[in-house]
Amino acid sequence: MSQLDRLGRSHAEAVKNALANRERPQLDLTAMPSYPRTRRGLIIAVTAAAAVTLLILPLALLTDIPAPETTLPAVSAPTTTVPEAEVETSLPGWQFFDVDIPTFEGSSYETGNGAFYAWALDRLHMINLQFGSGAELPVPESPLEPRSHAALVWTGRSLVVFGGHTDDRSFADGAMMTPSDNFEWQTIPPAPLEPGPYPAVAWTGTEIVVWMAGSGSQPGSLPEPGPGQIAAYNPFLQEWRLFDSPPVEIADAVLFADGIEVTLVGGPAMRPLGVDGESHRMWAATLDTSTGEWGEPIGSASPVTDFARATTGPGEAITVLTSPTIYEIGEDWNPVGQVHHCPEELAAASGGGTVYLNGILDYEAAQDSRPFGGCTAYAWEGSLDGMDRIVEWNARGRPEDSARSAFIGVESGLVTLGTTEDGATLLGLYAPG
Amino acid sequence: MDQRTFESFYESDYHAVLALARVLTGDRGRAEDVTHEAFIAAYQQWDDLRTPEAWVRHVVANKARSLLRRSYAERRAIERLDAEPGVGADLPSDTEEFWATVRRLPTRQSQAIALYYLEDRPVSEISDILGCAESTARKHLSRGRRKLATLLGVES
Repeated sequence: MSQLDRLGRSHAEAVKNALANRERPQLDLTAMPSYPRTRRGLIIAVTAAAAVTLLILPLALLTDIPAPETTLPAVSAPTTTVPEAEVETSLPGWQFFDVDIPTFEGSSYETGNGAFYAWALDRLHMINLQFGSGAELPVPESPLEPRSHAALVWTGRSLVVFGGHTDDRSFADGAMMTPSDNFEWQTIPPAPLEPGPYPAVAWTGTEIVVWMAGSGSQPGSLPEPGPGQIAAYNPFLQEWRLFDSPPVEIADAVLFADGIEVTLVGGPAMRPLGVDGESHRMWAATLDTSTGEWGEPIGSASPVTDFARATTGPGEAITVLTSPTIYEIGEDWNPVGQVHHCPEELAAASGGGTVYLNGILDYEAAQDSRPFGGCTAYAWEGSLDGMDRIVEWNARGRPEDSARSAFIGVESGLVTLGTTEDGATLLGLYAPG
Repeated sequence: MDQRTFESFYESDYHAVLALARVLTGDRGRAEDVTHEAFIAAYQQWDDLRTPEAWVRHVVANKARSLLRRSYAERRAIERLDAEPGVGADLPSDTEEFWATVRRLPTRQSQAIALYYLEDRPVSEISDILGCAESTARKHLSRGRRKLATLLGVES
């Protein structure tokens, strides 16, 4: 038995011993909905009614006796139609709030249950939809210089703001704010990286990992694809450590952390560029932050022609939305669905085995079988079957002028949506049925 | 279909499921909640469950995973609770540290390791519980063990 196995088994025994005397709670089974019996009853009723119909209906036709009315229980059809939606209409599950955020500058993050953060040029705004009725909560001024498009990530306790740019400068510093500690700010010293626009950030549980394109990139514009630079900051030790550059050349990326593994997904642009007709290649690679070693790069299965977004829920596969193919990234890029025209201003998030999308599409030809076809403002819900396979897309209606979503997030069974339109900001909460 | 009654299943498997929930959530209270919810869900679908042992553990693993990202309000409540001395200190500190290191691994790897050490399950049963192919479960387990050994500074 190896040293690890000895440790594992002894600590497993320690857990079992510690819990052995915990009393089993009494389950009040009589108070629970008797699902199996109800369903069995329904099946019996349906079967019996169908049998009666099958036996009596032909007999009635032959003997000219009026057939009795069947008493099949009403079964609701699957919800595949898009409900009509208007501004302020109370859609099932949706709640909307008009919130006035002075300058909404491209960075936002939601922590679930409607707690929502938006980074403006000069400060961080926090809004709690569910508990604050859309009211802004008091976050003190941050120690950071004004900037837009900073990357945000929630650690479970603090919100991290990192990087960003102004018209003439990019940043590689950041700060973290802890709501449970009187909204106090703690500065993050500059990363050992060349400042660049549009950083990507992830939280591993112990470290903030950041990726930057760097090397000659201009503030606010995407650089030429390159390996970029990646480093991790430990807020407990207040130390940075630099990793080797990734084995892929990209200009714009997102980072996903699953424990100590961090996956970098990117391409020439993860952001909308317009329909340019060119094809791009998307890449992914995984860094083991415990050893600092990169895995083999995972190149895309086929070139993509349109925009892309990547999303994942905790412990779920990374889903990358490109046109014409939706992929999941595992050992390879696995095609799981088709999209013939991705929406502009697309925001995507996933949770509980479902991918939620929100975006607009001004493309008249997109109709019929195209999952994003013909509509201008819908949130989309894709069902994942079994081990993360997208098999079906359903539309969920919502107000038209909330089309340009800034972000969408899924947590604790709630979908949070943020969007800007004509200077106003509309935030929404949706509880999936 | 399992021939046992739900009550005998609950009696025989409760503590093992609770232990799994405890190491995957890192918190006794949350573990008890997750275990309770999983058994209630099992009761509600009892007639349809072919392998309730695997099913209830699969539910616990998924519920524990979704707890990784909690709401702001819940977190604050938990932080206040954690600040009270004595609450949550139900395991020896070295055992707590070991399982905290396991939870740092990628989700599927930590689940596979918990099932391997806690319940001594073969890879075929781990794959049933995780809902993946046996080869995938084997990969999660071997990679997880290798990384865990690195993090703990021991030989695997």
